[in-house]
Amino acid sequence: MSYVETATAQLEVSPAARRRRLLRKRFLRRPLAVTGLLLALAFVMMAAFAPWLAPHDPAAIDINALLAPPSRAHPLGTDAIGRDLLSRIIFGARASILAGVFATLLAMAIAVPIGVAAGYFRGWFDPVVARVTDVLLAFPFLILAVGLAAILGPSLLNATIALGVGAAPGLIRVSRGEALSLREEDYVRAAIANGASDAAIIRKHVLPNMMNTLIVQATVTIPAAIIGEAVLSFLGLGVQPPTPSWGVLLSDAQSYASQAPRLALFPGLAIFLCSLSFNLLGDGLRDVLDPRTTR
Amino acid sequence: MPLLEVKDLSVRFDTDDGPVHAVDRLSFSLEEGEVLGVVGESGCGKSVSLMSLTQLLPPTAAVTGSAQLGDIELIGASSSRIRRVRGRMVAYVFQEPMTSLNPAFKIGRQIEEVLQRHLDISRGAARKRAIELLQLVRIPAAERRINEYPHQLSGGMRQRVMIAIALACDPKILVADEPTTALDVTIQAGILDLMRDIRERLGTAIVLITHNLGVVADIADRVLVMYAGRKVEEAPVHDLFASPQHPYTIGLLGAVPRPGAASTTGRLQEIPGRVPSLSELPQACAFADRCPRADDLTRSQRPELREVLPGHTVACFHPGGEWAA
Amino acid sequence: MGGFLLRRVGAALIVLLLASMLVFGGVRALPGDPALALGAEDRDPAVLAQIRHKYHLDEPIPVQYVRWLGLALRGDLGVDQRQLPVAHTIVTRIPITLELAALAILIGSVIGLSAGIIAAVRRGKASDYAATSFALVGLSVPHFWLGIMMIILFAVDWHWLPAGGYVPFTQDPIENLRHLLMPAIVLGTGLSAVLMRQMRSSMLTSLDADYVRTARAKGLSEWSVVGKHALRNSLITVTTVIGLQLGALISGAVITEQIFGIAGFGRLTIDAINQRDYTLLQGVVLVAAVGYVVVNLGVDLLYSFLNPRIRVSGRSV
Repeated sequence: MSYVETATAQLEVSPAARRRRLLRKRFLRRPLAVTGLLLALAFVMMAAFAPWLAPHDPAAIDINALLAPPSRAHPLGTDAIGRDLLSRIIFGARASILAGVFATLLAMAIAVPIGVAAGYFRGWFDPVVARVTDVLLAFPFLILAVGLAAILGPSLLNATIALGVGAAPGLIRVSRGEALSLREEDYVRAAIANGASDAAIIRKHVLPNMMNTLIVQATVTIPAAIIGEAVLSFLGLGVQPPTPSWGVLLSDAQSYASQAPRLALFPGLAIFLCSLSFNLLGDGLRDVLDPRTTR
Repeated sequence: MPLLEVKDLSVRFDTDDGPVHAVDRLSFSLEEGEVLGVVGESGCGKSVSLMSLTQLLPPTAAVTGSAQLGDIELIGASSSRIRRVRGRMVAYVFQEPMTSLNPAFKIGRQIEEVLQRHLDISRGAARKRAIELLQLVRIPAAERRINEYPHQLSGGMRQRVMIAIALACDPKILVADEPTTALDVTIQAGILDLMRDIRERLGTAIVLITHNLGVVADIADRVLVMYAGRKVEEAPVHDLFASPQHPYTIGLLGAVPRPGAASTTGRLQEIPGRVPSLSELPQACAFADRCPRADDLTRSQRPELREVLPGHTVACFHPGGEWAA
Repeated sequence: MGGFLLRRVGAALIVLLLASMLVFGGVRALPGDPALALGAEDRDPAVLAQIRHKYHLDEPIPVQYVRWLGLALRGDLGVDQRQLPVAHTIVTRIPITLELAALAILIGSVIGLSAGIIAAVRRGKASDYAATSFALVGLSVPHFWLGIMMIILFAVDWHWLPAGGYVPFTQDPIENLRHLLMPAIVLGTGLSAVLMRQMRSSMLTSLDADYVRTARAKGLSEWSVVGKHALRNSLITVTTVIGLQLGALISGAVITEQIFGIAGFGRLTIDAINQRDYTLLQGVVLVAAVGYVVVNLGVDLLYSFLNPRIRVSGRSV
């Protein structure tokens, strides 16, 4: 490498590392964001280590304890067929976290390339993308997801795909908007004037500057997908029995609402806390990444 | 008796990174109908000091000292009292005409608003007066313009509207904070013309805050020079330009290109160094770091204001002469 | 302004057309044989062929689509599995959902907007933190769980409010409101959370603006400064947000009606999916899409009207 190239390469390393350290500091100063992060990690751990954490097999039936109140053997009680509620909730985290995270990843994988291509290259592609997203956005996210899930057939995988595809139009709109405005930035124009290729510009200038918005959007999409999975399972369009999912637990609990309200209370509480943790995390990240906030 | 008497005005901002002493014991007075130019670079405290008079600073500002407007003490006055002063006795024109008007309301309404707040007049009378004011600030087709929105006017016209709003209730003092900085040079001349006109016709005292010495030379009667939150020199305008006393003023004047000015090297004067941080109040001359005359005395003691020539005060241990001595 | 209007309406129509295609195609893509469903599960091939011919299911899809669209434009959405006209069913059920949605918007807006204004004006103080936390909770709560919990508490345990069902307004206004109160609160919670945050953010920006400083310098009362100058500009942004949230409201209504046993338009969607009643489903989703697009168009126009920059110069900003 020439002297100029090595020098610039060295320069490029330190500012990025320094910035990461600064962001970490700012994040740690926000107790709510840290709480969100820890809570979210707790749920992820719960999902990952479910077999070791749950006291019972979620499908195991205890005939002697039908609709039993909380006890030593069953800390949260049992449901109508004698299955331990706590174990079912712990295993239920799997469906929610998997669906939430992978649906979001899928949505990003679809939306970002399309959005950036539309916003950056414009041409004939852009108006088509804009119209199609408008049409898709004419259907609320959940309705789209419900429709897709109905078409694909009930299963966790299909629910995840449905949620991911349903969330994509919104993300396409965001990434297209970002790409459009970033394209007009002076440093992009300078790079074009200096003969940089489109691929290089997108890689070095457009994508990194979109990162912040994308990260924030991801942390907002995950809780929406988690709740979406719960809704789909609640409607019978997602996870199929006997696999536990928080949505299924809620649906089952409806018939026993007066006798055993805890059957609805705890699964719902789990959904709430899981969603809350990602929302807190997302809020915290948005504040930390926004150059205008001072702390 | 001066119209406004300010004594030992200090403004301290309590920020997350510690206190910032934006204004440090500023004293000055303003006579009726006088045009006072307040000069200094960005961050020297000129805007902050004037805004503190009617409590227009954010809540993080701690203001001490005294500002006597007639028989009203402005510093520490109650909010209801201050609100009666604002717009009625002391009016402001701010720097950014593009954003100082509310985009959602017609300009007529924004003028009438201040009239109806302070004066006991009917809607119809307020409307008439608003049109008169627009004509006063030389906006053509005032009857039509009064129903327009800010985005339909150019920057120069918006600034004129701001001036109209400021003059609506015939205030004693008009504070113009960098009124022409955001405008083209050609428009600038028009605004300054207008201000001269206002002073002559209405007898309003004007405090003109600017970093542009040319503007000051144009219309000010007296000039106050600020540096790092302190007043460093004050004099009638001709005296200031003819025989500047403070090295900072001398440096500033040397930095302004003037046709026919006697200059030995043919280069513009630069003032080396940077403005000191305002987090502490050093016991020294604030300008010492950049001053060619600095010595042990100026680095250890803060110079107080002294009258070195009639009507001409300066805060310096070694005033007068050229830049280097 | 006229040209702007025309362009907006034109775009909306195109979107609607494409949406109708999507609806039609989507329903056709559902698993299961429509002929079976229409023929009450009779598997005799001859009967099925007859049914297919009767309902034009043997024609190419584009032809079926055009036929369906043509009828739909004339208000005929076909008949459902029980031979009831779909259009009629929809028309009778829509007012119920509309009332629910209207109440939800009312509750959500009142709570959300006022909380947002208070939080912005008292930034950093206790009321700000309380309001922001409240909004965060409102955003994260799965509203169908909230519904179930509220039923358990207010209906089953305390017997304050009915657990479900619907009573028409014209029949008994008090009962009508009693039945819709919980569903409306449940539905409005999410909206109020989003509005609160948007309003707070909007107000903070407005309060920071130069024109607010000008307003203060004029000696106006704090009430005037916040309530007139700052608020007016924030309302403009918030209006668009309300419009965008309507989609979430519609999907929320679907679940809410399910839980509270309200025979409204939203409930119809679920029933149609569960019963594989394609004709009904097509009609329902089409109407929902039309409604959504129309409302968004309305919000767009309202925004243009409120924002003087667009209203006066007639171009979008």
